[in-house]
Amino acid sequence: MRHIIKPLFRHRMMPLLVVLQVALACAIACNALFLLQQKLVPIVTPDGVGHPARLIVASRIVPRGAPWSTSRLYETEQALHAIPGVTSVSVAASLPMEDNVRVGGQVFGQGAGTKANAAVYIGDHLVDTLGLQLVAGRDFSAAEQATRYKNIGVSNSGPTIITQALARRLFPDGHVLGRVIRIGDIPDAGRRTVVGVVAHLMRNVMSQDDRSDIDYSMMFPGIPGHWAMPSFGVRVTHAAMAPAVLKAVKTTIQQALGSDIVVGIEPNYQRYAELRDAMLARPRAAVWLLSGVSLIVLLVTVVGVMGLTGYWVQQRMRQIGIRRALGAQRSHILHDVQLENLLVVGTGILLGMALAYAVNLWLMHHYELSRLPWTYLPYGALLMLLLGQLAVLSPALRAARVPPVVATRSV
Amino acid sequence: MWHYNLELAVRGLRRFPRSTMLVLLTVALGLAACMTTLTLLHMLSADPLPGRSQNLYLAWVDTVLAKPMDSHSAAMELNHVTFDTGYHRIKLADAQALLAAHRAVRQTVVADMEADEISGDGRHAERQQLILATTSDFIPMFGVTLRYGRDWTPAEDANRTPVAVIDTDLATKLFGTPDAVGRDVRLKHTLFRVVGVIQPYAPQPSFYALDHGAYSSDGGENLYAPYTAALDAGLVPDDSDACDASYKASATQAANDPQHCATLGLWVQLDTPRQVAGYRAYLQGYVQQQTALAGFGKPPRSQLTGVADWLKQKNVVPDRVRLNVWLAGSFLLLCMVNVAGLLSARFLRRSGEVGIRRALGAPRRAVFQQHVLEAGLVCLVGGVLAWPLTLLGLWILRQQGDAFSGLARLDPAMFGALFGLALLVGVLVGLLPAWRVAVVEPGLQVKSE
Repeated sequence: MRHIIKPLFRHRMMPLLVVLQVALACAIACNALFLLQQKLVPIVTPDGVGHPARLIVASRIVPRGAPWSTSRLYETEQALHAIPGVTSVSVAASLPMEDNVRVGGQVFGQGAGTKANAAVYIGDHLVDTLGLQLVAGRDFSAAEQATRYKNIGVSNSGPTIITQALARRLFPDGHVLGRVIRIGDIPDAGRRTVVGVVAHLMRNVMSQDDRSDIDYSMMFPGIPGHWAMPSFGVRVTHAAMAPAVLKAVKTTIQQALGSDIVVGIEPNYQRYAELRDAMLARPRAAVWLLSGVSLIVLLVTVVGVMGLTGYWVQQRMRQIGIRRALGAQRSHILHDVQLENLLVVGTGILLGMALAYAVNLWLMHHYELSRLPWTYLPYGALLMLLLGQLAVLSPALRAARVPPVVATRSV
Repeated sequence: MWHYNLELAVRGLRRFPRSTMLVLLTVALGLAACMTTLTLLHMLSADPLPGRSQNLYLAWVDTVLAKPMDSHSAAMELNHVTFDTGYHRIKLADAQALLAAHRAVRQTVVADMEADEISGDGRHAERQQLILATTSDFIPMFGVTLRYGRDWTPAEDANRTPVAVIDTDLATKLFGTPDAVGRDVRLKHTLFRVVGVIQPYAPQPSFYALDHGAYSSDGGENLYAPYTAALDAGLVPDDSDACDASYKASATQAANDPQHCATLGLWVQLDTPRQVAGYRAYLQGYVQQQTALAGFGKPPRSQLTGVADWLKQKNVVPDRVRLNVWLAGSFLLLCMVNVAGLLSARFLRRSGEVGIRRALGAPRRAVFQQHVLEAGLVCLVGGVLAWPLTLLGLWILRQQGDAFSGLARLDPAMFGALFGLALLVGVLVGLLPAWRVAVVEPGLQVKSE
């Protein structure tokens, strides 16, 4: 061991540069991969919507003047339902992947002492229209769907259907059906009894940092009252019918509400699959960018370590030759170089981990990023060690090939 | 001596072509990443109106007759609508009172409105265009260049005369000629007489109308009209900060009625710190006199915000842009360490040579100089290589679909900065290896040979 450590201290510059390089690469890669993982969350999380090609979304429908009355919206819904090929229609305050308007806030699990920030989707027939998968309990009854709210419905009491993730968060003991959720912490807050649980339903907030709460959503039945920007969801029987139905939806809504739609804001009619693609375009671009950066960082590091070790080995050709002449085997030399690399890179990694954490703290402070999970550190360390060994392989093999005869001649 | 050292440096570069390529590529990648992100940041954080913006202030008084909106109350959060309010807009009556008081050097109200713009003969129409409702002071105050005709007069403001100033693009579209003075544009049912034509005007970021996005690649408003006439024509401001509590119940007409909703932005020009202090006091005095506010539980609030502060307050430069600069900057640092290592290895390989040079009487300074020169040269060539890479990076940025990404272009200043940075990186990177090789003991080296 001494013959490995001692030369490192005698010629400090080379190992120091490797340490510095590895530390920097560690800090950058850890944080870049962390950012990458956060951008991946909305892309890889299931949104819960079944058959996205069969769902049509009409949004950004803004009335001129007062919001449309519930009965007017209900009539429009009926007209949409009459279009051939339509199986289900919802009028909702907001829909997934549609970020013009969103409703959400703190909700409390009554009796469980838990709380969560959750999205609230208010609308009728949402389970059918969105094609959600009910895993427990029941869908809202016809009577519940017919609810008409005076206000938008957030402070009203009634039934609710929540996602599995939210259920687990609010009621950790597993008993969910029949439990009560309090909406907000004001005294006259609405209280909602859980009647059903769906597998997934993504909230329509993309910038959510926390991985878990992207699936914290709840649904209230009935058409939101006095709501200035209703959205319509229309489900069709076959994806092939979607383009034709999309056109029909456009004309139907134009006929039913067009006379009162504000001038200047064009309603948006899209298939849900396209809406989703558009919404995920930015995180997807960021994922490409960050993975590219991470890859180049690692590549540059490998090349750097390789170059430095190559020189470092070449410089000691004569010593290696002497050791070989004195009876050291090729594998000894190989392992020595590898062990040396392990030591140097290891030091770099330790330093890099501390740096990664410091950088993360700094980013948290300035950019409202969440904390780097510690699990990143061992994975990062392992990756860097492997890369270090990969980088040292060719110089080490070259060192091992040094014939003992080198010792007898001058370089 | 310089010439000789330069020659040696060039010779040195050609000695190990493979490692030279590696160094070049590393430098180019680091520089390109850094320049791409810096260029975007530079574009986004530029002063929207150089020479003028430091004298412009957004004035705000909170006179909305409603309970203060408490963002912590559950009701608010649950009704959370993503339209970002809080643009510090005021109601019509306050705007009129503050304009009439003339306490600033210049003052103007601004409000974005949307409408179809139809040529007077009804032949050409531009649908759903952004219009700026403002006053006659806007054009001199915001440094708008008039091409033809004139600005409208304060008298025309006061008389609610339907006049308009349009930009050359709109003039060409509607009338086939940029000189459209004397023509008419119909907005809703009112004919607005064009009195002036301006160069297309779209400061980036568009600090006085942030609610339509801070940056736009395709320009902003293309028609400017007196706000009085615009309101008469039935145009409605696009957004409001808040409305009087009593207003909601009687909502039958427009959603953002400026009588009852805070929909107008008031910008004032103040040239000296004394004027700023004076206006600030005046605003606070104004809001304290609003007796109608009693009973709504609101403290009398007013604010006077400069352009730079306003942009900072509204977080106009997205965080992710700054974050990317940090990411790229640290990547450049990594590249520099890498290059320093590669150069050290390359320089020290030539220790023998240096030893002989030193033994023959070359001073340390010359050896040092030669190697720093070589490092600088490598990085400069890397900078040349980084140029197309930066353009590629900016092209990738433009594909990302953000509203501002269309602005990501390399201007001459940033082009110069690229080479400045390359040279700086080169010298910094070269210092350590050059020092290391300069301290080589001539005797020892020659002997070990």
